[in-house]
Amino acid sequence: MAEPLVSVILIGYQDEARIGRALTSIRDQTLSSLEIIVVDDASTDGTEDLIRAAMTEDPRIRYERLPTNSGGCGVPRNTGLALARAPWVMFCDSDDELEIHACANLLDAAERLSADMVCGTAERIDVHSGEASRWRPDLHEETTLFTSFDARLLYDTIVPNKIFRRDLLTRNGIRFPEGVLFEDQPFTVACLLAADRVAAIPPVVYRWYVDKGADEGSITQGRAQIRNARDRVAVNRLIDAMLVDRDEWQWAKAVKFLRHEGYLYLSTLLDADDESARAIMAEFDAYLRTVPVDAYWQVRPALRVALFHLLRGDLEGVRRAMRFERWGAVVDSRLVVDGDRVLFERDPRIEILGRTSREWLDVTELRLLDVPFEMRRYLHTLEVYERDADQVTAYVRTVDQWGDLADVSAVLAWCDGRGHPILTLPLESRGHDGNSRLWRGVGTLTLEPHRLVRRSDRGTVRVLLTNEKRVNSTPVRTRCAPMSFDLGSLTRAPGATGVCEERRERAEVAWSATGESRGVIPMVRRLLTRPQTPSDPELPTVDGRVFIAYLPLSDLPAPWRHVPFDLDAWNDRFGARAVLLLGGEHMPPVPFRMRGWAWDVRRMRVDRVIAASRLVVTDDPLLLTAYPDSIAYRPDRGAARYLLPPVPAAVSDQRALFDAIDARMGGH
Amino acid sequence: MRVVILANNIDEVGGAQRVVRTLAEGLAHRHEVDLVGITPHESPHPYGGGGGYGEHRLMDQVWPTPATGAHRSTRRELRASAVTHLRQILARDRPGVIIVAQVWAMEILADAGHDGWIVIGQYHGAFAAAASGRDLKRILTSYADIDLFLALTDEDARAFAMCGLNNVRVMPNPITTWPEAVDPVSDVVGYLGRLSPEKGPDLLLDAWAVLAPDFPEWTLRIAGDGPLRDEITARAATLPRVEVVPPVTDPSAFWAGVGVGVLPSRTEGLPMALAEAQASGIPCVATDCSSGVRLLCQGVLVQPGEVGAGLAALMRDPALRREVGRRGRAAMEQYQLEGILERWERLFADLAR
Repeated sequence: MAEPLVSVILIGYQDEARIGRALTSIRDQTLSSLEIIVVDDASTDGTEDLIRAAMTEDPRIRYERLPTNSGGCGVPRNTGLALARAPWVMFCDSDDELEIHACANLLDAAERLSADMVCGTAERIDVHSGEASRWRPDLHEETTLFTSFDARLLYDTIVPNKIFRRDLLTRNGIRFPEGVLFEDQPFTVACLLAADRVAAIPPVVYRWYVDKGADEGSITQGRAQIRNARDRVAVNRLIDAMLVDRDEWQWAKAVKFLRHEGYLYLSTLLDADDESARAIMAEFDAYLRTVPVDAYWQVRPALRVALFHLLRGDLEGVRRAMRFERWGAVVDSRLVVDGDRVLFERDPRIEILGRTSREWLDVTELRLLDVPFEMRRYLHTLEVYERDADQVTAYVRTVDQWGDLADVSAVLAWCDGRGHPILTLPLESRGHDGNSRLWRGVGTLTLEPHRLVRRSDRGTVRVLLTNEKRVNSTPVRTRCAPMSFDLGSLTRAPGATGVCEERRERAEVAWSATGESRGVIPMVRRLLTRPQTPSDPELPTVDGRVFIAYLPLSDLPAPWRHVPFDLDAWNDRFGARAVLLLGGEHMPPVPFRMRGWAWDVRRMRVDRVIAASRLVVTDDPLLLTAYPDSIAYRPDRGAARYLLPPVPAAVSDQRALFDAIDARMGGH
Repeated sequence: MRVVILANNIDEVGGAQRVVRTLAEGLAHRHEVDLVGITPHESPHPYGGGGGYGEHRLMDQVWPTPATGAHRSTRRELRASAVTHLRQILARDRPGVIIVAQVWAMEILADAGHDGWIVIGQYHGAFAAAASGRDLKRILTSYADIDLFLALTDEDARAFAMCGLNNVRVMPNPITTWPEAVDPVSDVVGYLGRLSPEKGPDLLLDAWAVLAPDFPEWTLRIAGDGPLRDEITARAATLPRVEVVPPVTDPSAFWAGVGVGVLPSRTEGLPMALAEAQASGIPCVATDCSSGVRLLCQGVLVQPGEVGAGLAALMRDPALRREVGRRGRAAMEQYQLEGILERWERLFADLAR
């Protein structure tokens, strides 16, 4: 056999269930000139037999078993590297897979571009739902060759979506650090520093299976989290040592650390018990103080507030701010107006790292005060839920972020997947406690029959707040005992059941129309099949600002489905004067944190959106014909143009678009 | 090595057929080549054998399209027989490389199975054309797991990749024979291509109706055949100085008598007629209807319906014609058969790894 071109190093420990899948994905590669090095970190399960059986079929496989378990990825990967003979090296973990063309695509790019290292796209796949999302899509939109520093590279430091010139590793003595987690990061950074030419390519090369439910707060998990944090810091110190005299890299890495690791670890503090949480904070504190203070102003405002609280040792403060970050802009504090600035909470008037707390807490750019009642994200906690036969008792606590909940009425509602109530319980006000309003509901649940579930569905438990005619509906964030209802006993409609369970961070309800299989009585079937009224919400009104609608044609493959201008730049320029209404049926949802100035109107009737808007921006020829005052905007996105009908005389870049909007706003 | 080139049909007059035959002949110098068409054609073009490659047609009768009213079972049987026949051809010797020129051919191959073969898929239309019809969906299904999918241009390759194909690279089509240089002095506008709606000969006549009075010494010469032939001939008779001539066997002879070439198409892939005209040194006007046209055209690129303005600019200025012609010929050198065959050889070597 000719000398192999690529050594693929597959590592695994006690993973006989999945390592076969990983091995098959390597053996099936369209590039066959491979050397497959399996390094077994002393597994005691059937891994060895499985690999040895494969070796009899495929002479490209080599098997190396470590005498004792190393407890990490560093030792097995280094062992694999020492054995590798091919000029190119790739890595794979036992629980993941290489895409079938991965080796061919990476090698082809490396040769064509004379690169020392090439990064492909990793696809993260949720093991439960099977949902796939691209890791760091912004880096992989086009084939790009980097011959000098680029901060984006620091955001993709995993190893298995890359190919490395082995000579680059041996010449520079690059190995994985052993005995720490996150060994990928220093390895990748060392390669980035040593390489003259690095390329990023769009194709998916690695399927990275992620179990999102796995890290929920048990005690061992708490300990694991502390070790994670410690290793994360250790690894970052290793990287910092490599970056001495590399100012650009240092700065970019500091910003990345706050944005990425900061978010990751601070959000674990939400689930961790207090003791583990404080230990994690302690691991980070000293390191955070070495980060240049200006870097903190490169992260999202609420994350900066959380970092501020970490630096002053306030765990509850970190948690308040992280709820906003992680729970889709749910506000768990009383907003404070201080002159022309809006602070996330009361100013303790202290200084951290030479900046005043007023600066740290400044979240003005989120425009939270301008979010109308209907669009706000309240923090509701279901503190008590008890059921005795048909009689239900519930206590709810709501953080009154804007301080205007004294006169509203409230209903607790178990809703379907679209947020329509199925079961409701009226709540009565029980006064307030500090920043919170308290509510109590006692009685039987009311069934909204026309909303009944026609097929299994997953919904949320929500609180509906009504202020005159305006309604706010926000899911309850809670930890409470499972609730189950037999709708039959409640409503004389056998067949439909709902189970309320805690899932992720929201109280979710799993509805199952068990009648589907067991036969529903005719009356219920009539109820169940009654046509539903289409969702047709009204737009809330805003004071002093106009609406500008962006209604793009969006029926494009996924990589093209994103808003083709910078939303934060939009906020800087127009946020004070206008609310952006984002439509486009297939566009991704607008992040909740933008609620102060950008709203999702994908489900609204287009004529209503247009009627409410001062200006319409679109590339839909029909809309442009029907509403000739619209601004035609079609950015040039390569071949996407062939998938869309042509638009004559369209503005095609962000600057021109913003100027056109400005001209029209000032023109009246 | 064994190379099997598989196309929908190999007998019609058309760009795709010329390309696969050129390729088959070129590759036959070093490989054992079989050119396979799925269906025969009712009026086969006499390409002439002797290219050094074997020729096969999988069906023993012309494939009845649904429009012919053929019964579904007839079509099913015919298709099954094609699959069986293809299996026999593939089983004849050790596996090598299969080059599949079109989507239907790829689907037939998928049914026949291709264990042990390296499979390369091509698509001779542009991404734009694929996206406007059903081809894109079929390509995304049947081309995803083959070894390579070859797009005609970089831009198309990127687009197919954006739609989810992970195995896309680029391979342009070759120019069949490298022609002698022509000095574009004849007062003749030349159109060489099928007379069918997508090629836009009607648009050309619209333009000519306006242009002709301003250029009394110029003639428009249309060479080709196709569904619009009668319509075009009738219309041409009402316009001054339009000649409609039968399709030519030697394009370079046609271009030798022309001063300006025109490609008024509504859709295109990588149009080899344009490449050949330019290789002869003829300055051309082409509509901006695909990435392939944009890539090839060294003359005047116009929007559909604006062909006249482009033609006038070249017809008016002999020095410009000569300059554009010279530039076009130089730019076409990269599509010479020898160079393209080299690229195929490198590709084979890559794939054998």
